Formats: sequence, structure tokens, C-alpha cells
Amino acid sequence: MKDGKINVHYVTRVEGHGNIVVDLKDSAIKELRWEIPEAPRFFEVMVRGRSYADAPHITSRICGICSIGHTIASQGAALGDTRSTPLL
Amino acid sequence: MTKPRIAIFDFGCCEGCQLQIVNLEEELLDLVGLVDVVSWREAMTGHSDQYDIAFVEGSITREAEMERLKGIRQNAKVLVALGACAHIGGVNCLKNFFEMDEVLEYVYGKDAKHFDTIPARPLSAVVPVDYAVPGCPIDRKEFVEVTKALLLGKKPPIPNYPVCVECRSKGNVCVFDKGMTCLGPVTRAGCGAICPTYGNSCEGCRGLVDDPNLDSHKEVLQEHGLTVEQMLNSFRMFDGYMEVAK
Repeated sequence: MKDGKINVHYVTRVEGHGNIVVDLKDSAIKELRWEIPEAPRFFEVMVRGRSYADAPHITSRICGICSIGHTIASQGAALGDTRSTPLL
Repeated sequence: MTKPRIAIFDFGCCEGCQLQIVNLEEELLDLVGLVDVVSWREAMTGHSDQYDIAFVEGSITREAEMERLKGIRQNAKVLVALGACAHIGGVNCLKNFFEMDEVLEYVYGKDAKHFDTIPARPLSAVVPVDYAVPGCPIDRKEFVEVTKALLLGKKPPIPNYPVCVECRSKGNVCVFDKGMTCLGPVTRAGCGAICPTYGNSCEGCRGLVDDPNLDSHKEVLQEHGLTVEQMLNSFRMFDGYMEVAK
């Protein structure tokens, strides 16, 4: 394809929403864009003013697939542990 | 006989309820054999606007989503809210206790202008909803039961008694006796009291029973030296959209 556009309007079989847009000009990529049209949910605000004990229960709802990682990160934060490695 | 056509959609949520359906594994194959799944972005490629039953996950959190949901309502003969976000608003409504400008600014700072948000709401705040599979996440067995009932033209069997009934039948020590607050007395059962059984309190993710006895719940709180503010805080985790949490 010398010139043209590829528009993957939402990637399927994945948790989360993403679009891929490719714009070709003279067989070269003029533009390659990864769009995230997912609705922002504002978890940073959701936990404000609540007990630290509530936080893991709320942040585990960030993602249906990796809820355990968010739970552990939240518990680590409550313990004052700022290491990037998981508390395992 | 043509098979009923099913579509599964999502709005603002973690997509964990759809994942529960994927996790049905062997039963999923039996279920898929009974229906034509015409749209399900998380699990397949392809889409059609011709469907009989729409399962919709997630809360409505952006202006444009209202039109999309209205379109789904128009296409579907039966619309089922899938999980707490779609059914009662869920954790998404925790942000509703702040001003939307403040919410945007707090998280995205000077880039807030690129984002759009409105107070989160359940599907029923925008369109009529026929049934709900409650819970955060949904119970996959209950999803199968609801789907079976819909295919047979029956009303889905969702309990209308509180979580305490299931909790007591399991022989659990009452959460209030452990000094914690619990929403079990007013929350719809069907989860097998899973949270109290594993040492937590009921957080009300399945929404309230019809006609909950809130006065009695307040008395229980007072008996155990717990405050109404503590109860409201508990309600806000999942039921913040409801008047009872405001």
C-alpha cells in the first residue's frame, strides 16, 4: 500500500479500549497513533477521605484482570512501603 | 427455531464481570451452543446491531455514552445490567461526592482539558433496564441461571432477602459481634455471604433488597456503638448513587 489509512476502531479480545490509526504516504508511515478512548474513572479521587483499610477494596476494582496487583500495591502504600517491587 | 442473539457491551468499569463469563470455561461452550453471540468486544471480533438480549456492564460516566446506551436499548428486546457498576453505579459513584472540575484537576492537573467526565450513574438512570445480574464482580453461576431463565422466557431468579440469611445459614459469627460495621442486613443475597465468610464485612455490592429495613439497621448500629456516619461511608463504597448514602 503506497498511500492509505488503516483504522482499527477498537482492538478486540483485550481488557480495555484501544484504537490504532495508521496513515501511510509514499509507502512510509506519516502517522501512527494509539488511542485510548477508555472512560477515565478517577480512582485517585475515589479513595480520598476514606480509611486506608477501604483503599485495597476500592483499588482492586481498577482492573478485572489484574485486581490482585492493585490490591497489593494499595496495601503496600498503606504500610508506607514505596518500593516498586510487590510485597510478596 | 433460530437461536436468541446475545450482545455484551461495556461502559465505565473494570470489565471483570465479562471476565467472569469468560471464566465459565466448560459451561461457556454449552451456553454459546444455545445462543448466537453477535457482539462481545472483550472476547471476540465482529459486531452486529441485530440482537435480542443485551448484557451491559459499567456505569455511564461521559455525556456521549448516554446516546450509545440509548442505541443499545433500542436494538435490544431485553436489556440486562451486568454487575454493580451497571446495576447500582458501584465504586464509580465515589467520585460523585466531589465537584467534577475538582475531580479532573486532582487527577490530570493541567491536562484535565483532554478529559471529559460527568457524575457516574447506573444504566437505569438513563434507560429502562429489564433485569440485573448484581454484584462486584457478578457470580458466574448466577449469570448462567439468569441467562437460562431469559432463554426460557422466565423471570431471572434473583433473591429478595438480605445477605444475613445466607450468612447465618453458614454459621458465621456475626460481623457486628466482631466490632465491624456490615451492610448484610439490608443487602440483596445471592452471593452466599462470601465476604463475611472470609472475614470481611458485607460492602453492599449487590444493592439493597426491595424495602430494606433501614431503621432496624440503624438500631443494630447503635447497639454496637457504631455511628450513622460509619454506615453512610460503607454504603458509599458501592451504593453511592442511592439516596440512602447521601
